[in-house]
Amino acid sequence: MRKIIITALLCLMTSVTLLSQVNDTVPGSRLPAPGSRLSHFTLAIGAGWSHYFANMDLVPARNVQKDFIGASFRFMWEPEYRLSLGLETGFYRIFRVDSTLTSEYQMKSRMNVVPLFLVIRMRIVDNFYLSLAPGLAIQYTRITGIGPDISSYQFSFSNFEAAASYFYPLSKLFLVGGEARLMYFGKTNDLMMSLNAVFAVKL
Amino acid sequence: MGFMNRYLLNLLCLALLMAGCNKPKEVAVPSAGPNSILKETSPLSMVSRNTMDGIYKVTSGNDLFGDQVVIKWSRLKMTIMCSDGHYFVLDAGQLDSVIMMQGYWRYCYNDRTGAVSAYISREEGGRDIMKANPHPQEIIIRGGYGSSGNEINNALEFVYLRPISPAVLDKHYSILAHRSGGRTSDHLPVSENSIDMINFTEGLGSTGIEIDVQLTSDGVPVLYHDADLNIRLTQKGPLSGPIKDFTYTQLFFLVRLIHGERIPRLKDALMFVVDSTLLTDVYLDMKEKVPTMSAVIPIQQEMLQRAKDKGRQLNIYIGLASQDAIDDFMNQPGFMDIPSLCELSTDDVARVNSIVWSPRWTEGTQNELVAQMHNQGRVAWTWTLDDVDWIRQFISDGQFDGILTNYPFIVGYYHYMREN
Repeated sequence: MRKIIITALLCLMTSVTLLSQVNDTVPGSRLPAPGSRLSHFTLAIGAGWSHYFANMDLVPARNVQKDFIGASFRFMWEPEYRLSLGLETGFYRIFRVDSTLTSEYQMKSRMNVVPLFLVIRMRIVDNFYLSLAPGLAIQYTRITGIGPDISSYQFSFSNFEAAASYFYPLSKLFLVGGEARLMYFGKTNDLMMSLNAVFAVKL
Repeated sequence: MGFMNRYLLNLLCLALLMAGCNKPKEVAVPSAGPNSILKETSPLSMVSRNTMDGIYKVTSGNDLFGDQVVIKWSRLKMTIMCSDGHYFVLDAGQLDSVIMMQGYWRYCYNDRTGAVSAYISREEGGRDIMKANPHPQEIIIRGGYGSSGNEINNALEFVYLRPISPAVLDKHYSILAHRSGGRTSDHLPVSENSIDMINFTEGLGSTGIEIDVQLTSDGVPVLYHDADLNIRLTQKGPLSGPIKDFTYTQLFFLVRLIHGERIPRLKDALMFVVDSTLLTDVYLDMKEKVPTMSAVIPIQQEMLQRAKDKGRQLNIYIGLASQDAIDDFMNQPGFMDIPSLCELSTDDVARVNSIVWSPRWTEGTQNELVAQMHNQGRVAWTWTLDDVDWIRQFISDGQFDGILTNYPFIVGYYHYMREN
C-alpha cells in the first residue's frame, strides 16, 4: 500500500511538471504591476498531527504509539517561475513503544527525527503547491526501563519527502495554509505522514 | 508525441526506482518436510560417511553442475561442491544398506535453488559404504533435482572416481567462512554472526570461521558486523543507532537478527564452537577502534582451555587489523604468547608474535613472504576471496594455508580436487 501511495504521488508530480512546461510561466494577464518584486523569500512555520506507518517486526502493534504532534520550518526562494527551491527542517516523533518485557523490565522506547530536506516546490495553480524533497536526517532514540537510560543518535542519508500545500494570502506579506506530507527515512525504513497548519511570511 | 514519450520514459524511470527500493526477497530452502524419505532411515556412522567422501564424475546433471564434483561430509551434512559456485547440502541415512539422501542445491551468486533427492543402491556402493570399505569399488549416486519449490524433475547421477588425496586430507588447510559462516546478503536461511550460522556453516564445507566482535555499552563482547543496528542485519524493532550505545540486556530483549536469532555474546558463540562443532579455527575480527582486548582475551583463553580439556583441536586467534589494535594488544600482559592473527606487514607479525599472517588477497599470492612465514613456523591465510577464478588461481599457484571466503564450498572444491 505504501509503495502504491508513493508511486502515485511521484507519477502525479512528474506529469504535472511536464505539463507545466507547455505554457509560459507567468501569463501576460497576470503580470505584476511595474515595480513590484517577482522574486522573494518565504519563511514558513507549521505544526500539526503526524502519523507513523508502523512496520515493526518485533513489538506487537498495540504497544506502538503512532500519532504525535510535529513541527516544520521551511525557508524558500521563490523566483518568478513556477518552481521554487528551499530548505526544510522540523521535529517529529516517529514512534513510542511501551512494553512490559518481564516483571523486571517495563521498557519505553521513543524515536524522534530532525530532517533537513532540500525542497523543490512547484506552484500548480494559484496558492496550491506540490513539492518533492530529498535530504538528510538525524534520528534520536531514547530507551528507558531496561538497564540504564540510553540516548542514541544516528544519521540517515537516504530520505525523501513529498508534500502538497495550500496557502491563503492574508496580506501582501502573510499567508496561512495547510500542508500534507509523506516522509520516508531510509536508514530505519520508517514512513510517516503529517498534516500541518502553516503560517508563512514573505521576506 | 514527444510529450507522451517523455511521460512514458518518466514513468519507466519511476517504476525502476520503486523496484529498486524492494527489500531483498527471501530464498526458501526446499525441504521434503514430513514426507522425507529419511524418516525411515537410520544415521550413517562417521566411517561410513568418510567412505563416501571423494571425487565424483557427473554423468547426469553436468549441464548445471559441471563434469566433476567433490563430496565431503561434515559433522551433520553431506556437502557436494561444484566448480562454479553450485553446491548441495544433503542429509543422508541408510535403510538395509541403501543410502538415501535428501536436501537442496543452491548457486551462490544468485537465488537459484532446488530440491534434491538421491540414493545409492546396495549393489552400487551401499554395501561398501556400510562396511566402511576405504577403497570402494563403485559408488553411483542416482536421483534427481528440481529448480522450483520441492519439485524434482531432472535426472542426477554421480559416479565415484577416486578418494580425496590423503596428502590433501592430512594437510591442515583452513577453509574459513566469513561472518561466522556466510553473509545475510547471500540469502542464507540463517543470519550472519549468529549461533545458528555457526551450526550451519560446516554444511557449506567450512573448517573455520571469522566472526566480528564488538563491545556493548556495558563491555560485553558480542557478534555483530555493522557499526549500527540496521534493517540490513536486524528485524525492524524499537532500537536503532550504534550498537556500542546499548547494553547487552537491551540487545537481548529488543533486537533480533534478520532470521529471528538473538545477537550472541562472544562467550556463548565460542562455547558453541567448542562443544557442538568440529571447526578447527576461529578468527576474531575486532571491529572496534576503542580498546577491546582486555574484554576479549580472557574469553579466548577460557575457551581455548575448555577446548583443550575436551581434547578438541581448536585455534582461536585475536585479529589485529590496525595499528590501534596492535597497540591495544601490546598493552596486554604476556601478549607474545596470546594466539593472534595479524593483517598488517610481516614485520608487525614478528613484533607481536602472531601465529597467522593474513594479508588481503588483492596483494597477490606473495609466495616469498608466505614461505618466509612458514620458515618462522607461522601460517598464512588470505581474505576475503569469493571469485571462482581467483580462488582457483590462489589454490593452484599460491602457498597459503587457508582462505577466508563467503563461499567455502568453492574453496573446498579446488582444495580437495588437488592431488597433493
